[in-house]
Amino acid sequence: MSPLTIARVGVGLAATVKALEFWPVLVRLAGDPRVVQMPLAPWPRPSAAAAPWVAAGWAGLGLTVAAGKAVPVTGTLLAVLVGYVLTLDQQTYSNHLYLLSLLALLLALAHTRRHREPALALLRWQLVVVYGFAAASKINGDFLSGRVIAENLHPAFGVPAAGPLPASLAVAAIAIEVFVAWSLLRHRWRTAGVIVGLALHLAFVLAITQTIAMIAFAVMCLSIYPLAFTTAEV
Amino acid sequence: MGFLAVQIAVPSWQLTRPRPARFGWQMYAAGAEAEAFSVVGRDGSVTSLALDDFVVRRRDDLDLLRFLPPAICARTGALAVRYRRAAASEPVEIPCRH
Repeated sequence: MSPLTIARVGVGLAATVKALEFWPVLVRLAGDPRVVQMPLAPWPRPSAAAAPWVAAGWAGLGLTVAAGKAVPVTGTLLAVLVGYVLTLDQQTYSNHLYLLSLLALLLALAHTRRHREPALALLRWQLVVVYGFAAASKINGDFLSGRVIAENLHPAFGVPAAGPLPASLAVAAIAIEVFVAWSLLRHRWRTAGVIVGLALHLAFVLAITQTIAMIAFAVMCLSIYPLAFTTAEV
Repeated sequence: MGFLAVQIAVPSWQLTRPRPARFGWQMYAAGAEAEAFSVVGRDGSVTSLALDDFVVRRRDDLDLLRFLPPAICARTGALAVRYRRAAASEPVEIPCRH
């Protein structure tokens, strides 16, 4: 299986999982009058009857991309549909959906003869950008205090809301994300970066309360990793 | 190159704004601007609100202070809406305009 095929299957399957995750969100946003609308972009909103079809179409496009069927078309449609949902309302925005939309578009381009090489390069760069800015944005007092990380860990870990333990975890999270971003740029360090990245995503899945979202995020990111080994440069 | 430039410029700009900001890969980067909403009734009583009755999917980057108080005032007929800033212990009160 080629690195591009792994990326396509991973992103397609992750798209399907995200569609199932957002299905009830879209249905309630469209159909529950108690929900406060917080529009991001002035798109027409789906009706209560149409919302399940948006999610179903999204899931179907994900499976079609994973199966490798007409990827330039289905990948573009998936990117547009996910882009619509993530800009529909502040409550449907998600960094994971933003990443999914970009990856679907780049995968569609990577399956065309004309745009293949630049799209592959951008797919490799995308993860560097995501990890790099994820780390940079965490350099602030609120995160470094450990409060944010403590709030989002499973209660079973028993991490206190403040103190040296959550603060140390916060610093470690930043350092690890910086290392993964940097190592994906360095030929000699890529294997180490992939191992650390795998461990990072496994920790997200096991430790953060949003398990399904973390699994989909891991599948999305990890499926791009093999592309890093297809070139000496990024 | 244009695609990559946008991918670097937008998150860089978002680093200069209050966190967490959208389109900047700011995942779990900071807490929400407000939490623990309650309403002050006409008799002076204070009732806690379940945010899930108003929000379908809670996120730290929601503009809760822009969208929620008007909706809470309209729905409950309250005199005011109270909330707590995440880092502060004292509640902040926003009067309703009926």
